[in-house]
Amino acid sequence: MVAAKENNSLTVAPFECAWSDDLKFREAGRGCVAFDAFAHNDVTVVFRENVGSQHYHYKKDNSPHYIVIIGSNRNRRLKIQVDGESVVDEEASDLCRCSLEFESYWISIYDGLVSIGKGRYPFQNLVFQWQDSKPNCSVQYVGLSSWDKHVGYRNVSVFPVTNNRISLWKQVDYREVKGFVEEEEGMGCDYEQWGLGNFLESWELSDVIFLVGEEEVDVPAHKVILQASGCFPLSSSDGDVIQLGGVSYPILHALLQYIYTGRTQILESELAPLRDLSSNFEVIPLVRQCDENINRLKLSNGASDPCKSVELSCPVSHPLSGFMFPTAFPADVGKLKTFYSSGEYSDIEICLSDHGLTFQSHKVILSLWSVAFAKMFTNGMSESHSSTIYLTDVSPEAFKAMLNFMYSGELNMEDTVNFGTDLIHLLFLADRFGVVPLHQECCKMLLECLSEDSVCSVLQVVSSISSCKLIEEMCKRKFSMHFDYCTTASLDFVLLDQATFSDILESADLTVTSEEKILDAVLMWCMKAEEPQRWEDIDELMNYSNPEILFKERLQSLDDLLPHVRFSLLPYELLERLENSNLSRQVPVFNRLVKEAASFLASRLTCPGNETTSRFQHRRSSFKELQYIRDGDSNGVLHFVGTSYGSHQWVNPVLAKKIIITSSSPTSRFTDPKALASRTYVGTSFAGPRMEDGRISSWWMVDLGEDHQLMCNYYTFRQDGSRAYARSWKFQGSMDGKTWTDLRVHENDQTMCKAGQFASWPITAANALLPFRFFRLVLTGPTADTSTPWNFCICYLELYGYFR
Amino acid sequence: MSNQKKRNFQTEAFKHRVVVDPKYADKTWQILERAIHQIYNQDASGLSFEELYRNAYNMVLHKFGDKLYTGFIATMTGHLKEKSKLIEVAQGGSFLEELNKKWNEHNKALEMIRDVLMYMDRTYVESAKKPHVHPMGLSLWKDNVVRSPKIYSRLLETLLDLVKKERTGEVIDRGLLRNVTKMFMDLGNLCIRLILRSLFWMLLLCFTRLSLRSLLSLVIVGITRRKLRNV
Repeated sequence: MVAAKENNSLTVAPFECAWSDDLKFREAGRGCVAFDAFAHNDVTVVFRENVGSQHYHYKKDNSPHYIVIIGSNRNRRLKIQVDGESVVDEEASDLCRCSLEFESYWISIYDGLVSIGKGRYPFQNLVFQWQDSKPNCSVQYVGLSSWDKHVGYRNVSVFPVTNNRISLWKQVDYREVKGFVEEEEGMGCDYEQWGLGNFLESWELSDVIFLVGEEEVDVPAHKVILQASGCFPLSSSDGDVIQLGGVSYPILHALLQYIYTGRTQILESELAPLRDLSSNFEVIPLVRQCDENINRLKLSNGASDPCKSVELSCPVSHPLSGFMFPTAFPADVGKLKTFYSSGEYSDIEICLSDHGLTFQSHKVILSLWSVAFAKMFTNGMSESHSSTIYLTDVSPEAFKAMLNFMYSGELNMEDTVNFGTDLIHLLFLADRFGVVPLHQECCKMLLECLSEDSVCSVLQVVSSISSCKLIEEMCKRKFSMHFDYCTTASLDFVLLDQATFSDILESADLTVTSEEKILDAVLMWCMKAEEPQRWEDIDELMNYSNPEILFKERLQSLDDLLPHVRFSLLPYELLERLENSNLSRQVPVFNRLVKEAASFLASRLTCPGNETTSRFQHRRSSFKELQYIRDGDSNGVLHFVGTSYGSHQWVNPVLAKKIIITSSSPTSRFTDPKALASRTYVGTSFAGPRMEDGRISSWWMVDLGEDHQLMCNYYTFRQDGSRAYARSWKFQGSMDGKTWTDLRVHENDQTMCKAGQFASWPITAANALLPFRFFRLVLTGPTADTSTPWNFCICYLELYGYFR
Repeated sequence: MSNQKKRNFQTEAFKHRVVVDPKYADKTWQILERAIHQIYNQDASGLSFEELYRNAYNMVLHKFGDKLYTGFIATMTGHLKEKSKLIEVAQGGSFLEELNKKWNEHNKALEMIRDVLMYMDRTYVESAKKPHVHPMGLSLWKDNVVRSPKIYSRLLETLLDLVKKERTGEVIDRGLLRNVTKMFMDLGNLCIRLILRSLFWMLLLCFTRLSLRSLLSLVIVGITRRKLRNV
């Protein structure tokens, strides 16, 4: 058995290859495969026309194929091979996570364009791209292979690469649920294929007519589209007619098709007239392409067949930018923008009735992006025969941004104070009118801006839009990973609906310093708390009140939410207190859960039973609590790390390279990182000043390492033997070592007054609940010693809090 | 994006989005229901698409998609019942004409209703895994008009009668016949199977090949196209 399929995952043994009929591109030569892989090296993916055997090996394959090897040469290089020849061999050392965990990748092939990326979302985080000069358009089956070590694959799924990358995103949403699936045919969604192509030779919204040939066949078109793509003899009045006596219909059709869809087909014999017509109207990209083809035919003369047709398509600047208007069309963005600002050829006035603003626009531009607008202009209701339309409930800033997007294909939001609100409004607007690419851009931007502070408000908003599932999931995840912060820093979370809050509580990522916090949060949510309260406060309120009054309409929700609290993780003493509380007496479910947990703990103390329900299991991601007891104790992080997280005697963690301490001045006899981590007293230890951004700066910085974070709630440092006492400084935390968040700001702090003195400070703000990897102490004002005002004299440092 | 920007990213509380008016859904639905009536009465040119679309959008956004969907079905069913009565009372030769006229009206109305309910069609219908508005409208026509007992048998008879008439040399309205056949095609597989199969063989027996050509080709093309699509 090559592949052991378990929970949608399979393991491929060395020198073997897994194939499946499911792992197949729907269209030969075009498709994308996304998967998670777990390997030391050589994640090898094979693309070929037919299914190979179990013992398939690409070194022995004679038929045409593509091979992508991620983490080749002991996880140092990325390779692409075509038919046994290495065509790409790139330095890429960090692609495999060395068997630490599953890593997500995607590989897409589109007519010989091989793209490789990291992460769960196809076309995001592109790592490498390579274009095959002789595209192999027959590859269809995907084989998952290995080299000399086992490779684990899971969540493998294959998507079609359509000319609309948005549909990819959509499929990602339910990919996680199914695992090995290929997406199903969408039900009658003509909305997905909507675009400028729908208006090719359509009488709808047309404002100019071509009369072609002797018979004067009339062909409708749209001025703004024509004029953006070339230079046509048009007036700004209605009902233009362009006479083309000497041109046959197929030629004009090819020209219009090129303008409206970005591609066309034409017989070789008709290339020359098409070239003449397009140069007549200055459709430059088409002229250039015709010329290229004519020259190519001249070079291979004799062999040419006048009945053969040639494919002409508009050069796309970036194949992965999608086939969006106007980037993949011959239309000139600059021209479009001037038509927008000048209102030339405009045939519609849009009036935002709530704000009294009007915009000049073009029906065809609005319609090509949005089916809703197209129908508004054509389906026979009052807007169809009016040149002014009124929109209600539309924010002017968002509408402006949407129009800009429609004319330029780019989303440009001004970075104003209301940026967040405007973006949300725009998201709603894009969703309301079905402007899918804009919706997508908004989602992307929103994800980039997402922070612990905004998850709640974003969650409230997006949960009503069904097309924002991805954002909703990300928000929930972020919330559950920063549960302490999100439930403490603001009480917005009580406004979430029950389903959302319940999802967060159920999340496997839920990270919390103590289970008590979850209990507090559930109680606060159920009573729609307006100020932060702990369970004790609520319990006290119960003395004068009853559950019906306290929890009102959410009393029922207690029954659903309280079971998510894992009471058995609470200390036994606390459980006893809970058991005797008013809450337990008056809320039956509370009583039941506390009793259950207590009896569970009691039984486990005697005989360890089997823990079946999740209610009794530890949370996967909980923190180790490192509590400050006294100055210079051995409970802090630096000491804990020095014992390799509690596994042996203390060794200086700086020497053991478990943590890195740096300072503003170079390491020397008197600026010694390892002294700071040890508890031995050093008479002279300081960080000297340096210039940063034109200002004097002295600091000490601790890096806990990539895999560790600390929610810091206390810190200690010790003055060295000098009298240069720090008076104004900041204690800061950071995740990336570049952007810093203040944890505690000291201004003219007189605490230090003796040489060799210890001093400790708590971090009290909500920021104490944010985990950080980097911490630093930075001097913000001169010290008490005027001779060395910028020496930050510290000989010992310790941090406390919740560590993981 | 800088961390600073992340911190500054604030969204105005969207509390106003929460509906406070308990009668909100009913009120909004009444507007839409009135509009559907107007559309069926061929009086749509005065309606504001923007207003209707916005109301339908808001209903879905406020989680009244279900109410909207069932409401639309109920209203449309009502109209179709009325129509089928009108068709039933049509006398003799005008029966087919009436059917065809009503079918065209229904199609036009359905198109407009689909446009107004587009947002629901795109979001609510997809997530609730219900039939889309257009197919739903067609199947309502099928259930309430074509399959109504008084119409179904009469329809078969009339069609057969037409065929016979032509055979004896009378001039019939071929265009009408074609339109009715096309209706069956639009209604889809089930209807084709139900009606055309029985009719088809009967027709074959009593009909000269020449005059059947138009009908035959239409039916065959329709069936094969459907088959191909299902492959």
